[in-house]
Amino acid sequence: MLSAYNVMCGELLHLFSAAQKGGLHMKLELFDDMDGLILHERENSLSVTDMRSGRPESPETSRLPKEMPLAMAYVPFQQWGDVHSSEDALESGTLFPDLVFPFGKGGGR
Amino acid sequence: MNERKMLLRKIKEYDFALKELNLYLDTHPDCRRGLALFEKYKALRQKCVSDYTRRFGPLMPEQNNDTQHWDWIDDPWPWERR
Repeated sequence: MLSAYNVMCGELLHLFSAAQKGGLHMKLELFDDMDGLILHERENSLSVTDMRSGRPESPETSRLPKEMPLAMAYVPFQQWGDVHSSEDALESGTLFPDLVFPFGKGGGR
Repeated sequence: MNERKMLLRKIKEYDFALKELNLYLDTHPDCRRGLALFEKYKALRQKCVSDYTRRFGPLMPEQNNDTQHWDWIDDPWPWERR
């Protein structure tokens, strides 16, 4: 979700700056179908269409979008990996070992 | 840890695992491994909850089972238990 969100925001910012450069009236028609635009962008960047096509699970959604314009921030899309037992999950605060980040004082890990 | 507390602990663990999978599946709605694990923990939780309510009374009012008596108010209350 975070990844999709960042890509969406990145795209919106991009449109805004393009609109400012080219005169505000130029790109405004793009906003008429904002939902469609967002969906389109999300499917492109996350390959959601591959996931829904009913094919076997691999290749899954990639960690990062194929197209990554400069100067945008991206959060890698979570991949299924090992899972904790339910006991360990409650102890470590997440079911997913990939998400265990015991940040220490002073920036150490 | 007595048996009542062990059951409560299990329910808490399964609840957490289910919430984690809930969040994961929100962004990965077609991941079969995620769905399978969700089903597994859902079944484990249901079993624990029914064990608990059968032996120690309802965890929530809607688990009241008796048509003659409202067992939600039965002793001991949570703060009276040890």
